[in-house]
Amino acid sequence: MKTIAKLITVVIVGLFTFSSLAAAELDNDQPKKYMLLFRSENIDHYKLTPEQIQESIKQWQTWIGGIAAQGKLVSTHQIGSEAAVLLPNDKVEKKPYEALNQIVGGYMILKASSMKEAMEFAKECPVFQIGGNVEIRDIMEVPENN
Amino acid sequence: MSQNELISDLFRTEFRKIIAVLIKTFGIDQIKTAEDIVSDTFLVATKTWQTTGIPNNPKAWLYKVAKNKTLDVQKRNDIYRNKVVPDVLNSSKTDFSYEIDIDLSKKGILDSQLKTIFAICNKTIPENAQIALALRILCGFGVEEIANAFLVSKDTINKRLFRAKEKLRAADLDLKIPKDSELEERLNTVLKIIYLLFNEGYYSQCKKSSLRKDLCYEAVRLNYLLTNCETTNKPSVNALLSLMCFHTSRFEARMDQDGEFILYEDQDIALWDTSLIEKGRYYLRKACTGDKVSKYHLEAAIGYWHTIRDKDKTQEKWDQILQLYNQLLQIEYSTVAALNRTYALSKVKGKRTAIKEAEKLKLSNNHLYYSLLGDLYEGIDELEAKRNYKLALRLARIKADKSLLSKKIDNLMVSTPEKEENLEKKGVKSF
Repeated sequence: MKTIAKLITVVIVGLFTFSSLAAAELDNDQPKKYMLLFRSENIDHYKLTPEQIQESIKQWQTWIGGIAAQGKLVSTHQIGSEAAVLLPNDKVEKKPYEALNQIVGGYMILKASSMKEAMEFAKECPVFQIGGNVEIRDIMEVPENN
Repeated sequence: MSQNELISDLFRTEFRKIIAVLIKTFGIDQIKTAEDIVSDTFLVATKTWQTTGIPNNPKAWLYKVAKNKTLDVQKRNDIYRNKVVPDVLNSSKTDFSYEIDIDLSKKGILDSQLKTIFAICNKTIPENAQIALALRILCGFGVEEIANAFLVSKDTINKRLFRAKEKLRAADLDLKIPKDSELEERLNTVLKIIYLLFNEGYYSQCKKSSLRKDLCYEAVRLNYLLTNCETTNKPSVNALLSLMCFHTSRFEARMDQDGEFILYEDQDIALWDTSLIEKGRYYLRKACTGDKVSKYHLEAAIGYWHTIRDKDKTQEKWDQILQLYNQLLQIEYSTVAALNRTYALSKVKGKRTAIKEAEKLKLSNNHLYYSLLGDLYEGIDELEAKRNYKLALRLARIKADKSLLSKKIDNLMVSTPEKEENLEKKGVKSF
């Protein structure tokens, strides 16, 4: 019994994010897509206890699940710590791009009828709890060639 | 056992084996020929056994007759190929004969059945036709039984089967178990059909409980075949089997004698089948290898947590179920998952939070949506609860659903301030 519980926990932890193709096929009356960029201070996860990490995962998952339950999620991913910024003249900075002490830690693409609705979704984002912010941008669709 | 009982038992177990082997012998484009031979074999058995009595080894008897009939057909085909065709074509090549292979050994049967599964679960034919064909060929169901299960006429099923066979013939498939890169996609199609077949039985409106149960068992059996072959014994295959074992374990407990639903929280645990629960756990362990998590893994894990009824684990249980639904919805959205997730949310974060989330779902043509809202409002706003249950009742189509909702409305009228404890007992129809 314990092993199963453990395995299931592993399944959950291993699955922080997922993209959803099925949801993307849903309702066509919401043609607009928005991208949410999550920014926060570069806090390394090792400073958190396993319980805190678990709790954080749960919060994010429940927020994402709420959007997915409305069929509005297109895709979302957490961004890892391996990073490189290529600069002109073959220069490379091997760390995430940092501005105002903040880096991008993840993104989400969702469907919303307007910027206002997209903002409503973003309001509950757990990133605010660690002093982060969410940038919302509309996604330009390539016009179809007929 | 009477002769009739024996024959119908044998039909159940042997029809699908012989037909799979014959399909492998003749090719998927000759399903009709294979069907005719097997039906004929059983007809001969019925007639002969009436006069000679039941043979010592009825199974071997059937195999032998089927084999002879196949050879006859083959001979006729050979005559056609060797004599008629060359004459017509005026060809000099006359020797078309070849050794035919009718392998009715255990291994041969399994191999044929697996290959036939892959041939039938094929995207070139519509899903409902794949299911019908699977029931006919892979499970040996009669047309009437299939019609009863789908609640349509025999005529409709006959047409559906006919068209499906035509499409299979046109597709010109090789009978084989797909390998490597092809396997995953093909296996997904097979699993989907097995899953749909299972749901057809589990959620069917068909009144005959035995028939519904048969559909579930057939899905389990087909899935089980896939675990018996090294190539197809993948984690997702075990996950689906696990999920079906968990669901089936509650089969007896989830419906009363009048065919009315009994909600999960009200089910008599003594009626749960513990051996199936154990099997579900066994296959779930087997599924937890590799690095891919399919929707079947998540649903199996949800099924696992539903088998836990220890009081001290209630919080952990709903916490896990909520997280699993969160992930499931990210892989594949479905209204049922969205509703069940919201129910789990109410168990973790309370009814008020869940109401807010539920109202965002806006599934206004779904009776389960209003049923969920009714449940969430119970103990918070009884008038709203009643209003939502009534909306649900208006949309509900199945008798079992309707009577359940009527009961809920009646209960609301008699006792307004219900105890917390009772409120926890009522749930959406989860499983």
